[in-house]
This record gives sequence, structure tokens and C-alpha cells, in this order.
Amino acid sequence: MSYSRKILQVLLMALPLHGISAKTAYMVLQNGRSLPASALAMEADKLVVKTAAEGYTLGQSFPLTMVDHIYGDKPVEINQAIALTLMGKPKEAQALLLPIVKEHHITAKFPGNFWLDAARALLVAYAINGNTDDTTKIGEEISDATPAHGIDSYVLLGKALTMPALTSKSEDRLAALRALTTQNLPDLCAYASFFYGNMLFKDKKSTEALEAYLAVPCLHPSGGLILNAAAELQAADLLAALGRPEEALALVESALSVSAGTVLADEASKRLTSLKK
Amino acid sequence: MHRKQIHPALFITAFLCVHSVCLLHAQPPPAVPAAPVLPVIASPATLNRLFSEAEAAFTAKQYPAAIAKIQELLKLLGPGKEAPYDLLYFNIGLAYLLSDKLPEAEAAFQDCIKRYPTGEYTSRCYLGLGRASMMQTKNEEALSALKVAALDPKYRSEAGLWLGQVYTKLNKPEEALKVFRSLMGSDVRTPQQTTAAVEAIGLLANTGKIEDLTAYLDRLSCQAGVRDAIAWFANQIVVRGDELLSDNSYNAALAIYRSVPPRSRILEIQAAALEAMRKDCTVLEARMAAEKDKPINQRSNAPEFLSALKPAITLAEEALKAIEGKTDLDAALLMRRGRCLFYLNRYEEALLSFRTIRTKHTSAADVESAAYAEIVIYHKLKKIAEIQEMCDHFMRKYPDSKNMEHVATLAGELLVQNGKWKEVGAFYNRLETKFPQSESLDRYIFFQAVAAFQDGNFAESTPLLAKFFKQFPTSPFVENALYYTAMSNFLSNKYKETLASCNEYLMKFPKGEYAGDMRYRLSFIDFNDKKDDQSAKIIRELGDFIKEHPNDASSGSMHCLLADTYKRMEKPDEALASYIKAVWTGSPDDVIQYALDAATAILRDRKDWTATAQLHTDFMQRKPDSQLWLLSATVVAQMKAREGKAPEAAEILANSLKARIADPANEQVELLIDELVKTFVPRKKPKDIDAEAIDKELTTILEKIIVGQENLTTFARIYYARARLAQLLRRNDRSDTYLKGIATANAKDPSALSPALLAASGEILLKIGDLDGAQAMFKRLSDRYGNSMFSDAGPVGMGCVSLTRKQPEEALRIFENVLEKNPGTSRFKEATLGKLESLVALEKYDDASKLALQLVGDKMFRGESAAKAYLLLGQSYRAQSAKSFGTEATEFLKKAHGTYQRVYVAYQAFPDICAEGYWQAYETAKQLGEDKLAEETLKTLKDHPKLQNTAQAQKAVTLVN
Repeated sequence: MSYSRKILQVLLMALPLHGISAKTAYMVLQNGRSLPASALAMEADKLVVKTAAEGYTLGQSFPLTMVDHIYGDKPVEINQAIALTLMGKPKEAQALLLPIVKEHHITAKFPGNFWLDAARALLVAYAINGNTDDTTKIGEEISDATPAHGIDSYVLLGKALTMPALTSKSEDRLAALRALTTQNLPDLCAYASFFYGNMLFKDKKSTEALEAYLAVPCLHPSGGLILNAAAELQAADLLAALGRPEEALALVESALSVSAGTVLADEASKRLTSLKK
Repeated sequence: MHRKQIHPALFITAFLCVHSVCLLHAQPPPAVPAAPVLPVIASPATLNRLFSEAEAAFTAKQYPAAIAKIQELLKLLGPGKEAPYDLLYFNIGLAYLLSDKLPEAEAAFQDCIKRYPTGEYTSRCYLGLGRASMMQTKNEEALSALKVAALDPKYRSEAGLWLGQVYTKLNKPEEALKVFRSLMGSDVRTPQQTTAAVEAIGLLANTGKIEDLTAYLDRLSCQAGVRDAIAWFANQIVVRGDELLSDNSYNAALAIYRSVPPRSRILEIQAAALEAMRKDCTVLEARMAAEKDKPINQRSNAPEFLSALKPAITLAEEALKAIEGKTDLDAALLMRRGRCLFYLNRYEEALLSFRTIRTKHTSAADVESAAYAEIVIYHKLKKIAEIQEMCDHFMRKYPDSKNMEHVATLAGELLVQNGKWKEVGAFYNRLETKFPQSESLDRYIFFQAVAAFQDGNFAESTPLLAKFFKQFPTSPFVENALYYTAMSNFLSNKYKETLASCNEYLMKFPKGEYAGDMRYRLSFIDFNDKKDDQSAKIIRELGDFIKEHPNDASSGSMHCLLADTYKRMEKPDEALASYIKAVWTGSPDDVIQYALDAATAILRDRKDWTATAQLHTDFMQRKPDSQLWLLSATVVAQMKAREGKAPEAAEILANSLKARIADPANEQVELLIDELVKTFVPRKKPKDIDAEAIDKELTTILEKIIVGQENLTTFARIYYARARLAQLLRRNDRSDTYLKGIATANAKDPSALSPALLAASGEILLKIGDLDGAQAMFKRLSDRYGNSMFSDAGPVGMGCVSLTRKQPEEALRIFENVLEKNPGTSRFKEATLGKLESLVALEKYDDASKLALQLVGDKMFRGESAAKAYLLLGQSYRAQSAKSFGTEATEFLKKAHGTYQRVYVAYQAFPDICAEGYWQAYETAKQLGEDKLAEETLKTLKDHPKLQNTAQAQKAVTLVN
């Protein structure tokens, strides 16, 4: 969004965002006005009002280029779903994400949308659950929504995670995940590092696993608070086993402070109690 | 990174744009008005001219002129209804505000609010009024006005920011926090909102509510305004983070640094945003060009948009350029995060950050600092191998570093602390060779000498010390070097040289750190004089020295030597007094123990049990943290018992328990309980003992001492005491019940148990098949009590749990880990047997056989452990037989049978194992088709008098019958 458009909004905001609930995703138009995304439908290259709202009448339409950005709070289910996936409960995560992906699909191509977050989280959940077809399909949808980037990098993450879980292939998967930790997207790097850590942990390579987990909050911290928290909890376990309870405690406290409202917070609370005793 | 305050500029620009555009919009189209509304006839051209002049004056920051023009305009307009009066009145206030005429601004905004209480500019007037009040420190007025302004979502960010600032100034952090939290729900789109958001980050950080700060930063990351000015935003918040870092607010700084995306991401987002802005700029310029010949009232507001857009583009370009120029931004941020983590004592995370800079950002400005920081952390973690490697790397790579000497010192210190004298010598020798011109050369040579000395290599240390004195006679290490010289001579039995060097030390450093020790050595030589009795001299010299230096570090040794002298002079009273004086010095434990033992021996010789008990009671009271405390407790109990005062002994021990019994981490408690319990066991035949009464007596005394501190720990320890008493009274069933009770009651949450009870409970739970409970016990032991004397039971127990869970792979990993990382483990035998069992379960028969044969030939494993190894070896043979055919299978069975025979013949002292040997031999014989042999084996098992209580013998009875 350019500054000129912002100024336009300041000028023309008759009822802008006044009294709107941030819980709903709003399409903010270039004229500064906004209306709930749920009140709109996409038809070819325009948006059509399907439910009268905020002064817009039923059937009214406007071109896609008139949408400036999406405004609203990130649906809480996204963080919870990411937490569930990272804790090895991808099916529960899928159940939370599918309605969001559907509801927010109309916002997919506009800046500030939460569809992309939800869709990427769903892709990871599918991949962890071994749903190769669904992973591929949502990967294609994500790539379509972000045409400027070509094939979305998450598609590569999905491919790495859905590699056959054979002993002979584990090194390939490790290599694929490791390669992804050097990508441009911090959340992708964080995911790759976390799952890389999981594989190393499973292979009883505690030192390397610890480094991979710590890489999430230390090297790719802007990847997302939930990813940071999950990795911090895993690392805390390993550090506690190394006889470093104070550092483990600091990690658990850090995880707890950023994971409110998710299953990770419950897990962190339990560990905090245990470590403090 | 530098802090660039863009707020005022944006503020002005934004307001000007608002006015300008509105002024233009307010101009009606050229159509003739329906009715005249202005009292003074003024042509549209005049009005336009005045608007334009007011606007130009604003742009040129000529605020008095702008005010004059607006006032003139208002006069011409008169009290009509069609003109934008609220805008004009608002602009008067704004112009006063921007020209720092605050009272006038305040009055003008109030005037506008009064005239137009619900107008389009009312919120902005409240905002301006609040700002003007703030700047005049009229805090209450500012709060009132800003609260109203904050009700308008368009101005919530700015009003909220200022409200928060006022509350902070008024020291009302809770209210400030409330306001900042309300900002979190706002959409951040405009430059003003983005600026406000940056300010709010700083203020939120100051509140110390890291959760709120982190949540806000997370929310901002997807806001439109932040995305459009991402480079500027990143720069600003890094500056905020730096301020917090310098204020030691590490958690807040870390939260901020962690929210900054990688440089490549910033460049990508900013480039895309700039591209969009430039496109808008082109469109606006084209429109302006197309409208240039139109009358001014028919033109669009493109020029005003452009006037706001261009500075925004410039700002974004400058910020982008700064980020492009900062090629090591990622490393710089990593360094900052590493620093925060370091100061938060989160060393492993800090290490990873610094290591990554060193290995992945090799050309970054911080790479040397990162390498240095790694060394400092390794030093804190006492990781010798890593510190050596890193120090070598650092000294090789940065020989001219200002931290060079510190690095060398740290590395050397650590080696010295760990007593790795050979490595100390080699390390400082390398330094001497590498840096022959170093200012620290004296240190390098001195520590080589110390290393040789500590290694007992006096032949090497003496010439090194001589070299040191010659080259560095004024070095600060001279005093220590003289001491080591004297000690080298002393320990080499060089009598004359020792006298000379001790006297030299005392002459040069009469009040030196080692003066007492030197005096002691001289007296010690006198004490060992075989020709002449030097006792009087010793007593005089040591007495004088102690009188003058009562707190000397060697006073304990000197008192002991004095006491030894008196003892030799057969003056036991003086000797006893001196030993007791030595006990109360702050000397090392070995000296204290020598004095305490010697004093105790004198008192025991006198059969003075009361004085002995008193001495140790005093010791327990005066030195409650001493390692010798437990020893004294035992002596007290023994002495009181000898005096026939068992209850008194019990009371002393119980009182000693009082301060410790509720703390599960105190490991002395169980040992003390053992002593306490012993005082309750009368010297009578078991049949004459009223066990129940004694149990009750013990319970009563323990319940008395835990009053006021009752918890699960004290509860468990009382049962532990009762179990130990039951054991001593040969009531093993009762003892087992109590111990099992402790284990099962705490199986779900073992945090109340001490290391000793965790180890015991883990084993009990493992035995009864509560694997989750056992695992919890062993895990707690490993995680929480890594340095405990019982800690070795933790990992080994976990391995046993895995074995029982039929997870031999995991078990093998655990046991191998224990044996590799802790070769001196007190559970070495258990871990090795566990490894053997895992190998058998994993069908790694060759490795298993090799290990089993190695164990049975090892003296350390003699007895029960060897018997268990044989059983496992037999099991391995039987399993191999099952996988073979024909002769090979038979051979394996024969080997197994022979192995079991060896068990039941050689290990009859261990009934369970012996019985298992018989049973396995019976089964193997049957498999071999040797029915008669099998039958005989079974019969022997059944009739074996020592095995009657074993499960195998009972099975044999059933089968035979």
C-alpha cells in the first residue's frame, strides 16, 4: 500500500474501521472504507457484495485492485494448530485449519491476509500426517496465491516432510530439511530446523538435535512465536538432561511467555512446575 | 544503526496534507450559489488566493503568516454555513502548536471544539489540545483531551502513545500499560501510526511486560504500515533494542531483536513496497501534468498526495539504502541477540548465536567479538576441550586482538583450575614460543613453573623459577614464585635451600599471603630436627606469629604443629587446646579433620565421652555446612550411647535434622536418619525388644521435629526412618512395606523425594513393574540431581526401564552413553550388565558373548555380577540355538547347559541366581533330549536346602509332584 493511498484513507474515512471487530477479517479498500471479507464473494476479477454491510448494498461490486489490504486479528486457531502439529497432533491441527482456509480463501491474494498463514500451517499438518496428495494440492493453491514467488518454498518443505520414512531415505530427508534452513523465509527455516531437530533426536543425536532446536529461536526467531516456543521446549528437555536446569528453565519460561492460548502453554506450565521443584 | 526521529516531519506533513486537500475539496465547483451566504462580498478568486497563500505559508513553515491569512479568510467568509469553518479554526490551533505558541494553541483548539463540538476536526482538536497541554506539563488537561481523541480510531495510535507517555511521566505504569494494550488492536497503516507504534514498543518495553511487548511486536509484523516502511521500522526498533540493551533490559531487548526479519527479507518487502509507491507517484505526476492548465478549483488533490508521497518514498529509499549498505545486518542482530542471551545466563543459546557468526558470517564486523564471547562462555561452562580449541583458534586468527591476553589468561586459568598441569605447562609453553615479545611473558613462564611444580616435577620447576626471577624481578608473580621455590625445596627435602627460600620470602613479604605457610614450613623443619630438640623455638616462633596474625590462612596448620609439639613434650592439655583451636580456624577440611581426630583421640584416651560429645556437638553447631558434620553427628551419637544416654543422642541428631529434613535436596538427611535410628536399637536379643514401642518412639521424635514444616518430603523421610529401624530390628517385611509405600505414593510426582529415596524408589517400582513410576523417579534423579552421590542410579535405571519395556535399542544407547561419558560411575557393573542384556535382546550375539566372557574374567565382577553375566551368556547360547539347525543348534545348547551348570555350582551364595541356573539347566537339558539329566536337575533344585524359598524351587516342586 502506498502512502498516497493512506492519505486518501485519512481523508475519506467516513466510517473507517469504526466499531469493527478485529476478530473478523476486513477488506480495507483504497478509499479507506472496509467491509467484512465474509460479506464478499469473488466473481472473475471483481468482488461482489453478497451480504449488505458497512453501507455497501447487496450486489454492489468493485474491482480487485480496489482492495488495499486485509485488517483483523490473526485467528487464534492458527497458532493452536501450529502448536498441535509441532506436538505431533497434525490431525487435530487440520480440523482447526480447514475452516479457516476455507473462510479466508477470498482474502488470499491481498496483503496482510491470514489465509497464507493458515494454508502453510495446513500444508505442514498434512505433510506430518503423511497426506501426500493433500500436501501437494494445498501447495499448489499457495503457489497460485503468491504468483510473484513462483513455486512457494513451503512446497519444498512439504516434499521433504513427505519423503518415505525409510531408513534408507532418512539421510535424504535430513539433507532436504537442512537445505531449507538456509531459505529466505524465516518461518520456513524455523519449521525445517525444528523437524530437522526431531529427526536428529530420533536418531539419538542429542547434541545435533539441541543445536537444530535452538536454531529456531536463535537463528530464525522471526519465524513465529509458536515455532520458537515448541523448539524451546524440546531444547529445554535436552538441556535438563545435560544437567543444566537453569538454562532449561529459562527456555521453558520463554516458551510459556509466547505460547498463550495453545497446547504448548499447557505443556510449558507442566515443565515449569517440574523444573522449579 | 541510528535513531532517526521522523515523527515531527510526518506529523506536519500529514496535517498539512489534510488541510490542503480539504481546502481544495471545500472549494465549490464554479456553479453560482443558490443564495449568498457571505456577509462580506468576496470573489472566489480572492478566497482561492487566500487559501493558496495560507497553504504556501504552512508549507514554508511561516506559521504567523498562515494564521494571519486564515484569520483574514474567516473575516471575509463571515458567519456563513457553507464554508469549512472547523477546518480553518483547527488550522489556527495547529499553526500555533507548530510555532511553539502553546497557550495560544491550547486556546485555539478549545475555541474550535467549543464552536464545533461534533465536527470533522473535533478529534484532531482534542489531539492538538492534548499535545499542547502535554508540552506545557499540564498533565491532567492533557489526559482529558487525549482520552477523547483516542476514542476516534483514526487517532487512537497517536493519542494512545501520548496518553501512555503522560501516564508514564505521572508514574502510573498500570494506566500506561492499559493504554498500550489498547493500541494492540489498532490497524497500523499511516506513517503516523507506524511512528506511534515504534514509540509504543519502547514504552511497552519499559513497563517490563515482555509478554505484551512480544505480542505487540508479533502483531505489528503483519501490519500494512510496517510492511511499507519495513526498512525504517527495522532500523528504529533495533535502536530501541540497543537502548534497552545498554540499560541491561535484556529480555525486552531480546524480544525486539528477535522480531526483526532477516536482511534479505527486509530488502524484498521494502523493494516491493517502494515499487508500488513509485507507481503511485508516476500516476499522480501524470495527473498533475494533465491538470496544470485547469482553474485551481477544478484541479484534483494530486499535488497534495504527491507532497506526502515523495518524502515517504525518500525516507523509505534512505532506509533501504542503509539496510543495503549494512551487509552484515544479520550478523549484527545475531550478535545483539547473543549478548542478551549471554547476560541472561542462557549460555547454550548464546553460544549458538556466536558460533554461527564465527562460522557463517566470516566477514562480519563482529566475528572477532563473537569468537571471544564463545571463549568467555566456554570458560563459564568449564568446557576445557572447547575452550582450548577456541583459544587456539582465536590466538591464531587474531594475534593482535585487544582481547588476546584475556583469552590466554582465561584458557590458562581454566586449565589451572582443573589441575590439568601437563596441559597447563604445554599451553603456556606454546604461548611463550608464539609470543616471545608478549607483555605477559612473565605469566607464561611463571605458570610453566607452577605446572611443573604441581606435577611434582621439581627438577623442571626449579630452573623455570630461576629463569623467571632473572628475567622478571619486578613481576607481580614474584611473591608466588618465591613461595613455589620454597615449596619445591621443601618437598624435595632440600633442607638448606628450604630454609633460605622461606626466609627470603618472609624477608621480602613479611605480611604476604603465604607468610604463615612459610613460617609453618620453617617450624616443621625444626620439628623434624633429629639432632636438637627445637620445641621451645617452635612454640615461641609459631606462638608469636599466630598472635600477630590470628587469621592467617595457615593458622590451622600452625596450631596443629604447635599441638604436635606439645604432644611430643607430653603436655596433652596444651596439645588438646591447640588442636581444638585448629578446629575452629577456617582451614581446609583435611587440616580440620586432622585436628578434630587428634583432639578426639586425646579425649577418648581419657575416656572422656562427655567432652568428646561436647566437642563434636559444638562442631555441628558452629560448622553446620562442613563436610565433616556428619562424622561429628556419628561421634556424638556413639559417645552419648557409651554414656548410656541414647535418648540424648537421639535428641541431638533429631535437632540436627530439623533444619534439613524438609529439603529434598539435602543429601545428608538420610545418612543422619541412619545414625538416629541406630540410637533407638537396644542391645538386647530380638525377642526381648518391643519393636512396636520403639517404632512409636522414633515416629514421635520425628513428628516433633517436623512441626511447622510438614510436607511430602518429611512424610517420606519418616517412613524411611521407620523402614531403616525395621531393617535393624530384622522386620524386613515391614521395612519393604514402608519403602514400597514411599515409592508408590510418590510415583506420579517424585519431586518430594531426595536423591537417595529417588534411587531406592525407582528400583522398587521397577521391580514391581510400575515402569512409568520408575522412569519418573530415575528421570527426576538425572534431571534434578545430576551432581548427587546417587545420580548414577538415574541413567542406569532409565536403561533398565527401557529393557523392561522391551526397548533394547534405547536401553543399549543409554547404557553405552553412561559407560562412555561417565566411566567412573558408581553403577558401572549395573550399566555393563545392562549393556550385555541389551545386546542379547538385540540378538547381537557375538558382541554379547565377547562382553560376557570379558566380565566373568574381570575381578571387579566377581560374585553376583559374574553369575548374572553367565546367565545372560547362557541365554545368548539358547537363543542362537533356536536360530540354528542340526549339530550347530545342539552345540549351542550344550554350551548353554555348561554355562548354567557353572552358575548353579559356583554361585550358591546367591539363591535366586543359583535357582535360575538350575532351572535354565533343566530346560536346556530337556531341549537336548537329555530327559534323565533334566529330571535330576529338577530334583536337585527341589531338594536344595538353600533354594527352598525361590520361585524356581517352588515350580520344581509342582513339576516333580
